[in-house]
Amino acid sequence: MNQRLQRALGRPDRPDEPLEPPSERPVGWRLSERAHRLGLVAACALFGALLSGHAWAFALAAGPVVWLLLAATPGTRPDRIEAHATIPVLRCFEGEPMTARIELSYAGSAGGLDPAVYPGPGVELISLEQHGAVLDLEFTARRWGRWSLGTVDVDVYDRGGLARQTVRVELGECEIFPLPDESTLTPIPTRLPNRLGEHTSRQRGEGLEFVGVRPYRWGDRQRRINWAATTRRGSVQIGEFAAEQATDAVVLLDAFGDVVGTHGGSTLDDSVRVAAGIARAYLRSHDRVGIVSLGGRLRWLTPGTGSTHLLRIVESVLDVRRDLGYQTPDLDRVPPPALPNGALVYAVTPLADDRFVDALQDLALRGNPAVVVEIPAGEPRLDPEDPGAPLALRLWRLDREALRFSLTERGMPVVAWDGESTLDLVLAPLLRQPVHGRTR
Amino acid sequence: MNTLLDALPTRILGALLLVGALDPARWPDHLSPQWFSGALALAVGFLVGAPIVDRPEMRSHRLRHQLLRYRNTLLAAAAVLIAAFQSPPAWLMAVELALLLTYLMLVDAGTAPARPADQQLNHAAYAYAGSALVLVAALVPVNGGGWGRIVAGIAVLGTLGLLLGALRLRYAAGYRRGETDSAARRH
Repeated sequence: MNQRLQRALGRPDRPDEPLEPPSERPVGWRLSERAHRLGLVAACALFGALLSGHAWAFALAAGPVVWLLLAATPGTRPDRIEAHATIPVLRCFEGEPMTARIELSYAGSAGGLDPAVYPGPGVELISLEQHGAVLDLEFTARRWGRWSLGTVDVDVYDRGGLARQTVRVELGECEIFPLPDESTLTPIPTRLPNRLGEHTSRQRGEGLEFVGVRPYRWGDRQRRINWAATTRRGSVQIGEFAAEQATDAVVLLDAFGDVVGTHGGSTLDDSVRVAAGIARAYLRSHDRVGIVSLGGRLRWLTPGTGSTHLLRIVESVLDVRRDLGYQTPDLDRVPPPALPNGALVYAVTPLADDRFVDALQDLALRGNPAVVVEIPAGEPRLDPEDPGAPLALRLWRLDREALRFSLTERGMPVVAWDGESTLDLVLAPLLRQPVHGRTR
Repeated sequence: MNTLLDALPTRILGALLLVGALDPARWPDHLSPQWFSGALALAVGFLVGAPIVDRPEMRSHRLRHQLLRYRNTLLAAAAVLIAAFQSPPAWLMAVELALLLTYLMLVDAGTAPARPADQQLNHAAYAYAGSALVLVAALVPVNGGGWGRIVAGIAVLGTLGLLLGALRLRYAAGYRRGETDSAARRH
């Protein structure tokens, strides 16, 4: 990190930790550090000279006084200072750069600009360049969410460097979309809705996968005659194929809490990446995907299809975490309109909140086939001086095992994603057979 | 975290400034308390002499933080106060003066946003010249005849002339805005 960037961020020892923007600066001109320094040195020299009676000490005051007089020439201050910020793109994916340009306008000429940048939470300043009265800033966001991009205080100095005036610029809000985890597998439920798609179902239809032969019936197409079977059986046989249908998938996101995961990251971050990965995989195979985020502000999106639907899904979950704030949950049940009959439900959760477990039980009662994708939460820290701590940890682990077992017994298979392996590896066991769910 | 080797020239200047203020020319040859105070001044000057590169922001009202924030100013002010009560030989006065002005110039360059280089050089030259004139005037023996008063008068006049001449200087550049300049003229 270069020196200019460190100065703008204002915390050279901890540059990654953003400062809170200070309260509004006083309006108008105020003395700079340089003016204070020269004034104090001159005053000390004069005071010492007068007190000690040494004439040479006046010479120590002469230099700072000359500097002050030269720098304080009238008409060296710019007037009517205004700042205008331009941010061309306020939406991007994690890790992508965002640029902001601050143009200062004033009457007269200024001596120098000294910007202080207070990036919002989750946003990082990566470069800062100054071209005359224009500041070019480049930010990047390491975490998805709807963040305040930040605040910039620009100190405008007069030409002598003796006075400064601060102009505050608010950069507004940005939307950072999560990067979906790579996933290509799309497990399907036992029953698929009667809609054309790409999944091979158990029903007979006009697909490509051969499932058997049957005797010819009046009205069958001649091109479906299976000649090998006809020759073998002595009567006309018709080849049968599996239907190819689309499915409905709904991702249920646990936003009740955000705990530290096993690899030290945030479980909510990982949950959203998994949700986006699942949604993208199903949308690529032309299925309909919806999302429900439980916890905080309840948001849901009815299942839809198409490439732009992924962006709608991702945008709908951004509100679950706003500037790392917390919102009291509106509802801890899945709203019926958000869940089509027979839709396959992916519940992405760290299984850390009982309210979400209640919602899963409610889901099981509705009969929807469901899969729980667990984002493992880190284990609780042990007090080394507590002799009962290892026993408590063991109980905690057993409790979680029991929870997983109970969910599996209710027809909801539990798969765990550790945040490091691919999502395909986690979902692969679900391809062995369609997801059943609980029968009514 | 700054290491001790960061901004080495400014640290050395700060140390020398503080030691010079203690009038080392009059220290005895044998080990004495002056030598200890000199060593202490050397260490303090070296430690706090580095220019502050952070923005001038009040982040804490604690005394320790305030001292750290204004350490350059306090170092220069302390050196000047101590030096004002000494009467070193003339060569040491000149050295002390040069050290003070150079230190202030380097610290300003490190802390304030960049001002035009030719403006900085011009102002520094006038500051050196003005200080030198005042020093010469202070060292002239005024009770040794008429010459002393003449030289002192010339020094005072010269300093005033320097100031008036410098005030007529045109500044080399700022960040000018053409359209706002014309708008300002219309008003």
